[in-house]
Amino acid sequence: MSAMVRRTLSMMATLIVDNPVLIKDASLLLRRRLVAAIWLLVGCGLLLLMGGTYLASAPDNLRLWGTLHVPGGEMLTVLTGVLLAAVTFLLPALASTSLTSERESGTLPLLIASGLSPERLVVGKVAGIFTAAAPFFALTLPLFALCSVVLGVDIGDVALAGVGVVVHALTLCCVGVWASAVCDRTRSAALVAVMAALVPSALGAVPVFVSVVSVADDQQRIVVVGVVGLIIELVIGAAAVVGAWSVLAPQRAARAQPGRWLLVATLLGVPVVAAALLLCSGNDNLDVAVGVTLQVSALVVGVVALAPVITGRRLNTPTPARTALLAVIVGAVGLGLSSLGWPERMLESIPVGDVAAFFSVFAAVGGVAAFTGRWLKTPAVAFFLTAGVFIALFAVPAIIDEFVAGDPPLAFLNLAYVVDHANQPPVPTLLFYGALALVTLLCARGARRSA
Amino acid sequence: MSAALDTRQANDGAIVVRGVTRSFGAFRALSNVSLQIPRGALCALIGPNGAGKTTLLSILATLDEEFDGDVFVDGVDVRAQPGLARRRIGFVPDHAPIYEGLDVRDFLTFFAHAAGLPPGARKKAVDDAIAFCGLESLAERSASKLSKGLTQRLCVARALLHRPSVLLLDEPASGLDPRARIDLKELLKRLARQGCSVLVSSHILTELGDFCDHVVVLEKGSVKAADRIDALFAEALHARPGEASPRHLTIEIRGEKGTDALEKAKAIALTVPGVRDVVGDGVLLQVVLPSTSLDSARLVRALVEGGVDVCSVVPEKKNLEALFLTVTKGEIA
Repeated sequence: MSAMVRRTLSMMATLIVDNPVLIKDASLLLRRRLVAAIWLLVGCGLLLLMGGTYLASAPDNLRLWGTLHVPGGEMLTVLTGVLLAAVTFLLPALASTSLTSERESGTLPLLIASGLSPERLVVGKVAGIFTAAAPFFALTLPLFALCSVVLGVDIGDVALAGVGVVVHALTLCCVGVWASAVCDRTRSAALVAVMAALVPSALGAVPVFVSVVSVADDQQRIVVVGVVGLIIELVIGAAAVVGAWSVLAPQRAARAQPGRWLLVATLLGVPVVAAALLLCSGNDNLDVAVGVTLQVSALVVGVVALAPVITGRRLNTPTPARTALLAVIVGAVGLGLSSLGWPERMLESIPVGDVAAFFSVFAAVGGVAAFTGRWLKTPAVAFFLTAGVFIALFAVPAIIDEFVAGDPPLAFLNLAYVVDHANQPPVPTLLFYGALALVTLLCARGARRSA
Repeated sequence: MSAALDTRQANDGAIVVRGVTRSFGAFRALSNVSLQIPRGALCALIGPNGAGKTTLLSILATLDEEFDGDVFVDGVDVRAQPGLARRRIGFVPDHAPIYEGLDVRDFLTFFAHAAGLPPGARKKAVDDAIAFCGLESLAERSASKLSKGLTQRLCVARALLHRPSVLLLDEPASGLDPRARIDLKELLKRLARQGCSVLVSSHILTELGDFCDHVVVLEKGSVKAADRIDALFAEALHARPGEASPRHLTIEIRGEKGTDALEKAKAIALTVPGVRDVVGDGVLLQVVLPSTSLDSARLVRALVEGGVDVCSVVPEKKNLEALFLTVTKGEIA
């Protein structure tokens, strides 16, 4: 038994502690001024936000819908929410350069030929990114301590939120490294990674958003629908335009710079979205109108975006536009399908089981593709992998919530769930994140073989 | 073929390739390639663009597993035991990739760590590699700020960290200035003297001919020739059975162009026993002789005694370019 423990410890040390890639990547990243500046900026912003929240900590100022009653709890929720938002935006983008930059600079063959095992390479990449983010997490420790010591939040809840943030960050690092393993170029990988992190978040936020709208008073509805709704609709509208553009003018779309086409797509999407909102504005049942608009938009995106996938021929050349398009497809289709029951029954009528079953098929295909390295050379396979990750992120937490907690699905990737449901064991969700990180690592390991 | 025979054959050479075929879709990059490079050889891998040189090197370096056939490097099957094979192989790719932000020593230490050298051995391996490649004065300098020639030397140093028995270099001389090329050539010669087998691909055939003793000629994914350079020269220049390859001499004579001095010299040369061919051009006489230096001496003496003023006698170097064109029938892709 002790020999097995020793062997396991030795293996872990080789993989994580004594990992040359971890040492090299972390030291190079920490020495990069841009990375340090970003972490400092976000950290200082967080400190300012928390300070402001503390100064204005009268419960009435922060309580919107009566779900939060304890000032400390509010502080912890804001803290975890901002932390999650920061790492969700930054870590996948940072991690997405990990293997593509090696591939682009030509050092990946050197690493492979040097005898470095795939496990050490991928684990080193994930751990390197995570280590580079460690100073940022260290900045937030006093804030967690503040919640517990000054504001009297239960230490268990604080620890749980901290662990959740760390696991979530680690998962996002895995997602970024996975994207960099399946994409040829850094900008494609960055798009896929950010999409993989953000689209599920947006999807998960929609049911919450709709449920919030359904219980809010008129004034709150105006604020929420006017601001949040517009943002969501803009994203979906932009995705629809990008999808249509890629199908109608693939060469032009492929040549365009990602930033430029996103800008153009957004600008084109604004009138569409504005028109949809105007049409809905006279409706007494604003939440229903929002739901219908979401549903129609999502289905349009899904149908338009699926066309090149079905025809297949246009996927021969991976480009940023198509890669991003692929990343949007599954999310859009999922949104469309899962929102079928929303307008009438809202959250309670989401066909979670059906959606989960439908997506599980994609997940299975993506999983098989991930474990067989030779299939990973085509964008179509990258699509299935992307789909797999989306589905895992989207459907599995819903299943866990439904069957374990007995609750309707809430926003996954939203640790407010963990904090607000402290009376329920969040272990399944955390276990899920752990399993997801493992599967993602294995995917990246398989994809690395095609480097 | 029995397994025992397989093992024996695999151990016979530093590199043994048998029936290797590699396709990319419909395009066949390597077609039934078989060759054997003996231990300690300094072997040139030559061929036109698209001949399959880089594909073959990638397979040898364990970077490409999608091939049919068998490949052994230092007796190790690269597909069955890639990890073990990598410990025997040093690989220098066709361009010199460097991490920005690392100095020369850090760069080498990182790869020594990646190669699995224990902490105690890393520093010694790095110091040895730096010393061998003459990078002592640059050890603390940023690796990304080195000149191209020095970067290439750094990449060779990196490939030597784990003391490989086989070194593979893909176009190492491309883009280097003459001084850097000479340095690299000397480095490879020293390695070969220390018993390391070297396979180097290059387009600069004349330079390879200076220091390589073996050659593999690839064309359109097939091996056109693979042997000692001497043997291939002998074959290409139609040496008689049992003879070494003939010697080509360029003799400069004194006399005005268009005078009968050249005709006179040609006539004398053709009377010398053993002389196979004589071509005159201006004041230069190109003569093909048997391989021995005695024949050369006899020819020069005959010319001088015949009243021809001999200004210089230059033996022609083994010209790999000519050999390549002969072997590939002059077809260049």
